[in-house]
Amino acid sequence: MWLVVRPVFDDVTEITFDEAQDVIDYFAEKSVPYIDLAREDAVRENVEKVLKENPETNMYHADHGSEDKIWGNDNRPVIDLENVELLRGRAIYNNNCSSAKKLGVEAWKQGCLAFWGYTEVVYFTTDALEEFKEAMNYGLKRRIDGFSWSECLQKTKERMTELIDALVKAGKALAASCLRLDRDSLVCYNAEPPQSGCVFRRLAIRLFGPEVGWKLRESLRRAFYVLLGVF
Amino acid sequence: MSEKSIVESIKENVRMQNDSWRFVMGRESLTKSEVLKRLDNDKGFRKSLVKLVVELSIDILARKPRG
Repeated sequence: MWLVVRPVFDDVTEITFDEAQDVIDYFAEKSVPYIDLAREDAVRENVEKVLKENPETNMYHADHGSEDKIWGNDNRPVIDLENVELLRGRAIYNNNCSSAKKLGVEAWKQGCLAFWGYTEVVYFTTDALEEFKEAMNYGLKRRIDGFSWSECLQKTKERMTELIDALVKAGKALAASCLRLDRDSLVCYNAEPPQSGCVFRRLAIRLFGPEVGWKLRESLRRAFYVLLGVF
Repeated sequence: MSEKSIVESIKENVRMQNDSWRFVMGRESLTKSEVLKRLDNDKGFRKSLVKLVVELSIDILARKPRG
């Protein structure tokens, strides 16, 4: 089952709301069960309630995002670093800005099965809304079709490149430039582990692998307490 | 090609858009006239748009030939 969260409170969220409708139509076509939290229903308490009552439910969010949170309809986040543990054991597909930068890494560390999203601000132009809608939802549709998250990511990036070329040919160079930027900031943790900008973190990931490297501080703290208990 | 001529090309492209056209960067949704104004007055915005189109060119140039 999928939980669809789609607030509407400005020009941009009217567009993301429509993009979420495209996903809902696909769920209906493929007989995928879903819960739709739209407009004023897309708030933190409702999202938390649905996730707690339905441990198997995955989540699709179409709205604004920030590095460490994704927003609801009432100017409050629906998921942030305070309740990110709710994503443990499920997938989340983000059609929002920047949330893969910090929230995605924390979700991945907490055991989120797949965090699909963008590490940077998402750009688009309104002369190519159909192309952007296709690009934004392509990965989720391929997932519903039965592909692995890794395959979904690869196929989506390939499709985005095809769309970029089509936009250039159609004389929509600015739209193509925006889609290129979006394509390059698209990630899916666990199809790939998060990348770090920190030299020490990168070294730790290289030495111990992503599972330990990303949690090194926590691992060291645990080891310290174990040793403290021994001595 | 200088940055100035790239900016001129971007402006030319924006001028060709219809009046309902929007350029969206996250929460910011800019009209055609707002984009043109910021290209003139906002150095950071101007540089980010130049970077955007230059990176697309690099992306296209870096592709392996098909077939």
